[in-house]
Amino acid sequence: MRNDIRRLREEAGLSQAALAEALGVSRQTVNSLENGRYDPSLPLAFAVAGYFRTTIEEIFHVDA
Amino acid sequence: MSTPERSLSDGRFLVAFACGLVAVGILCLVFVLAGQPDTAAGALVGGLAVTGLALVVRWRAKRRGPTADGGFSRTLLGTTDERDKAILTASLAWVGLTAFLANAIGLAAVALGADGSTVIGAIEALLIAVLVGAFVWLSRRT
Repeated sequence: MRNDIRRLREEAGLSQAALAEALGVSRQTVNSLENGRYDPSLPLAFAVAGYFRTTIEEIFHVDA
Repeated sequence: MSTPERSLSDGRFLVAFACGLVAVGILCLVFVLAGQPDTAAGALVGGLAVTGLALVVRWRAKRRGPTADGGFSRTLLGTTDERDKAILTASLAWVGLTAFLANAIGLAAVALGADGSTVIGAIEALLIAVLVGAFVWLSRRT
């Protein structure tokens, strides 16, 4: 699963730690999400999408 | 939010710590009553070492706070998020799988004449090593 979390975070001028705190997860979790090593639960995916005021489909993309 | 903060309070930790001490005492007493003072002494030293280690780890984790930069610290502090829980679950799955295999091998070893208590101790040490190793490995991979 690919995602645009890194791009959205950098556009928002946030550090991984700041985003992690906003989402209620650890910095390592944000790092793993950005690097595609960890696929989030549906509630966390909704939380990420809600934080960036967009939809899950706009952030997460299934690998072809 | 997907990962509500849930920290292990000092009170709950102290209760768990006290229960650990009581368990060590009971185990020691059972060995003494069974006429095995050497085993009782070993259980006392080992038990106190483990509970003391738990106290030190808890203190270190608490000093670093809920944003502790390590899944192991967060697990001990009770501030895990969903990824930490997934890693812990997967690590425990590895422990369970290893336990099946280790018990089978241990049973065969005892049947072939190995000392039973030594085999049990070795299995215990192996399972702890697998838990720590799997946790570290999965933390780096996940």
